[in-house]
Formats: sequence, structure tokens, C-alpha cells
Amino acid sequence: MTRIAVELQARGFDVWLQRSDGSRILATDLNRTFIQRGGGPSALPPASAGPGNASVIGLRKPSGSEWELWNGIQFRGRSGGAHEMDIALVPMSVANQLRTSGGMPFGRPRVSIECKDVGQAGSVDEMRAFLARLYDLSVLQGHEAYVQAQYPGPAMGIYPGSPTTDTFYSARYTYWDENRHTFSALARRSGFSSGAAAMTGYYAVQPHSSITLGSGQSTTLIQGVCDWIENECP
Amino acid sequence: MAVIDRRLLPLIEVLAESGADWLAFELFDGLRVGRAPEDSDEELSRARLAIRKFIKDERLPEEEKVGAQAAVPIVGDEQIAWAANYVTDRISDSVGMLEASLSQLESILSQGRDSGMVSDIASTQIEDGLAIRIEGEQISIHRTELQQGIGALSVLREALAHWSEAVRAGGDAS
Repeated sequence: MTRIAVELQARGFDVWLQRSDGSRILATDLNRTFIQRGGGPSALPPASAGPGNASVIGLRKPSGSEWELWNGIQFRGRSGGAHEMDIALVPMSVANQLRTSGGMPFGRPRVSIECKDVGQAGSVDEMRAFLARLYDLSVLQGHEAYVQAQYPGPAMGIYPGSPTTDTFYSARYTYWDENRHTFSALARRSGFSSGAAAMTGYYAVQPHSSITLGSGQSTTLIQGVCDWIENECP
Repeated sequence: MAVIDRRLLPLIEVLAESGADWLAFELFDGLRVGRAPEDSDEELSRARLAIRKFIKDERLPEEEKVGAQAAVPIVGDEQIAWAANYVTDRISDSVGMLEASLSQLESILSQGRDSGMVSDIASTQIEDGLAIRIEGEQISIHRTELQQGIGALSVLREALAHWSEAVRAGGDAS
């Protein structure tokens, strides 16, 4: 997450470290502690809970749109189930609205990266589980009637608080569209068991192996994510 | 499936007693699976390229051939050497990642658009620097503590190499 932020900063984004109450960590602050998420995943805590929960990273594109990079936050799927995303990019307006009372976003982050920092090769079932999570998190135009009661208005890819100023944030018509309209990757310290990569194409889930400190593969991943954020997000 | 070599048990005990249960579980997982055949770098690269083409061209990606090879169990002396290397590499990588994260966070803070007042910070504050704290824990890690951890890695590496050699030679590894 930090390497993505550093790369985006080098590309001209305004990047800042942010406490869980929404305040920025400034170079002049007496307390400059970045809190790393620990233990199990959780919903986004309300700002009223104070600055002692996990920190996030804020981004502002040169175009002016604002985003947050999260680590280990749970998202709610259409089934009602909670799904953790190791790294997620969400519009800042979604984050700000959630921080008013805390809770899980409903829908799919625009960037979803599952990180597997383990020594064993990733199984085919691991890839299936990630695809299932993305499926449950995808909110499409066809789901509008079901989400209207809770979220009136046009169907969006993620709730609450998605900007309505750009069609980028609107829900897509098919899973095929949504898969190609978001950036999804499974990043592993080791490799993938034979057969895992075969199912990634249709679902547009990028398989990245050997993601270790300073590896060429990790640079490929970081460049890929940052290219996508720079070129595809408004 | 591999059988756990009983000579590994002292290492598992040490990991559990030192609060590194997660590493003990990873060792068991690694031994349970063995050396599984993996998709090659070329296959993964081809899969990523197919996704990029798929997004632009809107054509279905080409079908990937799926292999069906069995995993090879890790047994005997090889299991001892594998476990010792795994623990050394895993802890070294974790400390290295933490050090990289701290450097990157410091870079974000110092180069951010809100960092214009850096010259006003007292020298003691600069020495303290940015810290990383795990949510729910009381201890914050500054660069000084991290340097101590990095310094201790060579001791760990040497101790595990000695243990591995002694166990495989049938000697007393305690």
C-alpha cells in the first residue's frame, strides 16, 4: 500500500497519511504514528471513535478527484456477507460518509488487491474464493430495484456517497463490464499452483507472483495499479 | 502427503513460545502441501497480457491449458533444512518489509504538500521520526528499534543454520 502511494506521489498526486478520525498526520505533528491494521479485518470505524484505529492513505489526483487507500477493511456484498480486501481504493466521498457513523461500504472497490504473504503456492481454490468475493461485491444496474430501499437514486458501483458527477462511478450493466471497469489482482509472495492463472482472464483478475521487497515482479504490479489509477479513474 | 519429522518439534515449540505461532502454522501448511507444481512466470505474464487485451478489445481471452501434476512431499533431512531456511527467510522478509514501509511512510510525510513547516520541528522530534504501531498494540516501532531487529537477524540466521546442520547430523541441537 505504501509503495503504491509513493509511486503516485512521484506521478504528481497529492498524497497524505491520515488517522482513523479523518485528520491528516503532518510532518509538524508531535505524534506521527501510522497505525497498521492488526488482528482481524473490520468495518471502517466512525471518526468519533478517535484517531487510535488503523490509519489510511489519502490521494488527490491532479484532476482534483480524491481517493483513499485502505488496508484490511471489510466490504458488504449483495448477500449481506462481509468480505475483507487487503488493499482497496475507494472514492473519498464514500469514506467520509462512512466515517460519520462507521460501517462497511456496500459494493466493490475500484481497486481490489488480495495479498498472500505466505510461502506456499496459491491454490486454485484461493483464486476461486477471490472471484466469489468480487462477484458478491459487484452491484450492477440490474440490482437497482433491490438496493433502492436503502440507497435511493441511480445505481452506483459502491455505496454510500459515490460521486454522481461522472459516469465512472455508475453501476455497470453486466459482471463482464464491472470486471473490466475495476482493477483486481491477486498478489502473492510465492507462486500460483498450476491451473490458477487459467481462470483469471475472463474475470480480469491479474495474477502476480514473487511479490517481495525490490523484486521486478513487485515493480510490475505497482506500475500496473498506478497506471490504472492514473489513466482510468476520473 | 508428508509426515511431520519429529526432529522439527523443538523448532515449533520455540516459535510458539516466542509468539510466532503464525510461522509455525505456515511451516505445517508448507509441509502439508509439499512442493506443488506452479504456473510459470511466462504463463502468469501471458494471463496478465490477455486481461489487458480483453479490457481494450472486448474479446474473450484465449483459453489457458490447465496442467495436472501432483505435489512432491518434503521429507526427512530435506524437511529440516527447508524449515530452517523458511523461518530465516520469512522473518528476514518481514523485517525488511517493515523497514521499507517505514521509509516509504517517511517519504510520503516529508514530500507531502503539508510538510512545508518541517524546519520548525524541534531536533528531538526529527530524531524520534515517524513510528508504526500495530492496531490494538501499545508499542510503537521507531527506526531505532527496527535497526536493532535488523542487527539481530544475522544471529538468528546463524543459530538456525547451526541447528539444521546438527539435527541432520544426528547430534544435539539444543
